[in-house]
Amino acid sequence: MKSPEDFLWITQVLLWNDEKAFERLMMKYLPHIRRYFIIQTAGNEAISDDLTQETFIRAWRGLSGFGRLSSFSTWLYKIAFNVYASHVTKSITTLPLDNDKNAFAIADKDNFATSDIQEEVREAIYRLNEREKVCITLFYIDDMSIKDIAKITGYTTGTIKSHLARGRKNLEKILKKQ
Amino acid sequence: MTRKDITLSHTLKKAFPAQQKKEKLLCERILLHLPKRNNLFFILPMIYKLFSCCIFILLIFNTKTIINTIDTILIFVQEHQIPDKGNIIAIVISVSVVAFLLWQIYSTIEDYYLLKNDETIRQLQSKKNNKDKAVFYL
Repeated sequence: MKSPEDFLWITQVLLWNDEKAFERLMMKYLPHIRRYFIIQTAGNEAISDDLTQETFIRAWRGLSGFGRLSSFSTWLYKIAFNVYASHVTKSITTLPLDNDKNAFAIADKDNFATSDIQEEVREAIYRLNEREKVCITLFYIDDMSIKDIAKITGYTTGTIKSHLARGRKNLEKILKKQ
Repeated sequence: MTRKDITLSHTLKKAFPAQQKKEKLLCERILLHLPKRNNLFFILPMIYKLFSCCIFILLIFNTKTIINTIDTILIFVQEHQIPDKGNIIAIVISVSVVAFLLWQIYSTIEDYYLLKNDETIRQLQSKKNNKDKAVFYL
């Protein structure tokens, strides 16, 4: 969806380098982007905050390259997707192998003070594989269309649908086990 | 979306509630770390500003009223004739528009020089670092 207020704020940033207009854009999209990273990093808030910062700084630098053919949110999520991809490639080379996703899930327990069921749902989503996690997050949490997800991730619509179906099944399996 | 999809979406959204305090803090942190834009991004807005101001002026006045305003200002300065009400309003608007234009140009130039200073500081620092490295290797 193309929002007129986004267009207005982007124009203000481009014409006058207006930081306040960029702040308004950030206040609108930061919670979504941050949540996206929290899910991708299995609840690691410190890394999520760093990645969110990196995303918005890249957006600030490259705003003049924003085509306006797609909506701002799609463009921003594409940056976030690339930021996370480069973070993963970096961490593969720098961090020791730690495949135990429970370690992150335990760290996450203190971050959201909510009920046990919600905690179980979060743990279940963290256990999905990367591609399923991306598709499920964008489709069910950020209410994006499959076309928009295809623009962000570069996957075909068929692949996204199959990831969604598999993700749903896996979520069911994990939740039933718990 | 089916009913199942909607309930799944609802549960997932509930599992990740907003953390307004942390989000606000992060927003402030990002604002502090925003870099200065490239030179090109300062020149382009300047052209945009001039262009938009010109359009703004042309939209408010047509060329005749601009000439009339200049005439009345000249008459007031040279012959000390007090202009009528309509002309005074036109003069006030045109002076404020010109002031706005000048202020915009000044701020752009100031930004440009600030950026230049930043760059020279960075260059000096990198030169100093290189020197230090050279000393270390010697």
